[in-house]
Amino acid sequence: MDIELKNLKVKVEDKEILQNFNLKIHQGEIHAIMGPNGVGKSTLSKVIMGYPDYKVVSGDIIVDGKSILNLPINERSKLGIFLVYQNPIAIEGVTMREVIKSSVDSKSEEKKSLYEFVKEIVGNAKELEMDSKNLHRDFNVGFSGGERKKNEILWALMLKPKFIILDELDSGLDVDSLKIVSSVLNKYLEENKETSVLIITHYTRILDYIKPGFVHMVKNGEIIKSGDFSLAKLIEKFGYNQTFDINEVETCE
Amino acid sequence: MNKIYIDTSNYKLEIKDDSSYFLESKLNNLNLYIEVYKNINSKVFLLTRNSKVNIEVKLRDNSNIIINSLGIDASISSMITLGEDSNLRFLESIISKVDTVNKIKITHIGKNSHSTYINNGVNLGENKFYFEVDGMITKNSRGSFLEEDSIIINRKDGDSKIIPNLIVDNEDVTANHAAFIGNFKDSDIWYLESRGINQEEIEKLLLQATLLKGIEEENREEFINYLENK
Repeated sequence: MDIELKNLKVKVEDKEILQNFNLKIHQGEIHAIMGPNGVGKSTLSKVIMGYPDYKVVSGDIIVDGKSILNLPINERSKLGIFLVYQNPIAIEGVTMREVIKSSVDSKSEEKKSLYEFVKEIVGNAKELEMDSKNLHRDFNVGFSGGERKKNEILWALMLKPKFIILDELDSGLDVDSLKIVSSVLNKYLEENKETSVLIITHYTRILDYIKPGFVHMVKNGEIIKSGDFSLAKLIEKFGYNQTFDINEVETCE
Repeated sequence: MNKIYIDTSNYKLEIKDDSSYFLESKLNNLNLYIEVYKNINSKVFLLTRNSKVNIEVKLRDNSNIIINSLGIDASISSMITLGEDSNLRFLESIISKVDTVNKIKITHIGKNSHSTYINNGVNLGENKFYFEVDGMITKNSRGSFLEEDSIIINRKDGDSKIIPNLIVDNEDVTANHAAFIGNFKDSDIWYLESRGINQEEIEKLLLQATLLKGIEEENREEFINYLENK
């Protein structure tokens, strides 16, 4: 999936969070957005997803050549956009299986039989080294932060997205779980070469497992520096402020 | 599980062995009397529809009961008394599009008795939807524990109220109450929407979540079928 964020200006409750934000992600590319807390990284994910409390003041979001600004959240999901949340919600009273089945049924024109659905989800849970009994537990209730992240990836595998946004995927995941989740995601990307990815993170740890071809540094709601994977390594070494002063990395545009 | 379809307006259930009951009624008026005998553990599932229901539960000393009740367009009044060392867990869920007033009075008469009452309501219309929740701990009930938690999800501009009262006549007890009236959280709706789920299906999932939380998954199926046949 091709995604273009064009001169995007976004406000939340009259506060400008993103300003003149430009980013082009072509089919099959992996991009990483890096920046300290509070610079608008997570805002970006919610804006792309179409959250109503994030107002796009000007600019556009173009997916495969068409603007998606007027599409509601669920229609954006049906296009193939999948946001892996930093803090997924929990719902008591409905099971993981029920919630994910609703979503799979909503997306496809023909409802999968329960047998087909269970076979597929159990297979995916096994790849993620999850206990399939968890599918019968209430949605994310009593799950650790890491387990919730695995549940998000499980859901992604079931919906087969064409553009995945990973918002702080590594927060809450221990090293072993991060390796498992990354390996499953890399396998998915290998098998679905048209799928593009946006990794939102303030640490470089995840980038050692899911390698981006493009890294962008964000400050005050805009991209201030872009480069390849080496930019992430500079940020790791020097921090955000010092990296900004280093000139050998290509600047944005 | 003993399944009983109640077709008489006055029904008495005396529980003398450790056992579970599934009770269903479609009567317009139902008076249900449940007595749990000494040292007995029991579980009661109750489904009622379009009815005025009066429930009286007596817990003898050292008895335990879990009650899961689902009422559709029903007004339910419950009176429960707890004997010494007895234990009550009452999950009451009501969904209604007509005026409904649900009353509960829980009275601890024996020491070290323990009650948890959780009621989850969904007001579908612009109608009246009241929970009147009275908890009473008498002078002789030292060491007792009483907890009440009431929620009403107001889907439209209904007249929803929760009226709690705690009357405590002993200092060595714990009693608390929580109440919430509001709608589904936007954050929950948007999260589910972001996975491609349509509004109708989200409504169904969140209604189920509100009404069935706290009920074990293996016991939910009857409740779900009952809701879907509404």
